[in-house]
Amino acid sequence: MDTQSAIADFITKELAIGRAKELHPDDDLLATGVLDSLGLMQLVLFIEEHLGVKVPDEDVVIENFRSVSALTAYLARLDGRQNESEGAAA
Amino acid sequence: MKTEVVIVGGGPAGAASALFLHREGIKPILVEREPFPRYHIGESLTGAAGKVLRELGLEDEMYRRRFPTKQGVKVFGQSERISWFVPVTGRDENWQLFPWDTWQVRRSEFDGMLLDRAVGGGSQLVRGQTTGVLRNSKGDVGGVQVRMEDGGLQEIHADLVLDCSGQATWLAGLGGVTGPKYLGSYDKQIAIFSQVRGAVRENGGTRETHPDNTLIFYQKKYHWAWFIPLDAETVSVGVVIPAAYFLEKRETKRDFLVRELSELHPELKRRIPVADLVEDVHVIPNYSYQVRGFSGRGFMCIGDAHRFLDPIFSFGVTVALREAQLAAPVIKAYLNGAKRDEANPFAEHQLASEVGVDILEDVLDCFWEQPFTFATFVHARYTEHMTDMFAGRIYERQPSPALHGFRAVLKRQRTYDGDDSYSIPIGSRYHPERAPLWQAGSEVESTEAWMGRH
Repeated sequence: MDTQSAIADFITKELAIGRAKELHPDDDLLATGVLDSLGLMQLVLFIEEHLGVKVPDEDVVIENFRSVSALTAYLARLDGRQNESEGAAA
Repeated sequence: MKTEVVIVGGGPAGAASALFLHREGIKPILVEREPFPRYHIGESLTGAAGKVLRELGLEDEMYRRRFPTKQGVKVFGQSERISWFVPVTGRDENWQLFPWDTWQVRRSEFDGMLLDRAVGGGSQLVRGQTTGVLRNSKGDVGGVQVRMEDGGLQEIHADLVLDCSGQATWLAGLGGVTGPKYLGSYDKQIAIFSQVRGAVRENGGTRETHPDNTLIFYQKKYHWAWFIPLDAETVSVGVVIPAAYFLEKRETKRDFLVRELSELHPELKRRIPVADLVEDVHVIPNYSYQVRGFSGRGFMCIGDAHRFLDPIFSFGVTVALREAQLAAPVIKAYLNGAKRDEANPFAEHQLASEVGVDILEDVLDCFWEQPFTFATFVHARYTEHMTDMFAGRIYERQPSPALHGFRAVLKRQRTYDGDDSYSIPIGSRYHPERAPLWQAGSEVESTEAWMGRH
């Protein structure tokens, strides 16, 4: 399952219970009430545990988690940053 | 009158300073203007404050007086499904966490207890209002002048004046002693509070549902309420909001409080279905500030007298008690001649005090600015470090990884390598429009007088 689908799947099953039946990638998760403080925490944990990605402290901000597409784009940038620094180190 | 140390203010900062100085063989004179017992706000303690009381040998008395035993703080957030619990904890001699309790305190009784102890331990209590400082032959602060109850003036010469005057910030208000007093980041907030009878209490048999816990109800940014049990029937309640919000409601403070108790959060309304107020409704506006240069030859400020941020984490009394504790050996050394010729003999202690409160400021600012991030740090990423922070363990093992995280989120650095960067009031560094200073001789004489104009 690709990253975007995995995230959408997690949100639909764990966070949006009883709310969004269909989750669109650009839906504002905050505005629709799908994402609250507990939800952000659960999402960060999901990313760490199931995608194996540690989100740096300064990036654990609501702006990066506002929608499925925003989050997917952020994780792609993060992946690029981390590959770059690994490449530089090697 | 002549003494080594004169303490201005008989509240927790002053009384605790006296008690710790007794242990150093010093018997300060305490000056207090109000007859005790008297009402005061600031009713919830942290684990660190409880530890100070225990170190002062007061644990048995605190239990005997039946102050409610706080097990933690429960926060009710915006979404219905969310409540967070932060337990009170201690660290043992191996730095292992253990569950602990601390106390909620009716301040009239608590402050009376501490002041009685200070007097009982050998400090003379002078009832009067300090009106100015005395200068010694070197031009340094060398005591205080006091207006007594009979109207007469009393001079108290002292090697050291400890300003423990709380929100009155007496020395800062005199001018010419401390550095400037800056408005704090939360100076646009106002707290309106009272006490109620008959509130519904927690009682689920667990630490998290203990009836003596603090409850916090968060409606939105800068808009919240506290619920602090003071005895089996009475609960202190307060609403904290932007001053502008209060003013535009155009209600009396009592009507405002009663309405907010019903509207601020459904969980609060459930617990106080009818607001049976058993205390006046009090107001404190503009409660956030920072005094720079709050120590020097012959003087030092402790607790609220030099800085106050925001009430939401219940740190006020904790900081007062811990600063008093940390200052005592430094004061003893000073009286024995240490650093007498330095521009500020207390520079190290002053810096340590600022660094400690700076930590609280960073955590507080992140709580308001990025509450979702805050929740993740507290309850997932940095739980143990945040437990320490909430317990008030801010003077040791800092900066912690949690603090680094908050500073990364806020894009804020704290360097203490020069006067310019030394604990600059965040309010003025990041918001220069706030830099204007509260002036000595300001029109705002008292909270009640301020309220009278609106």
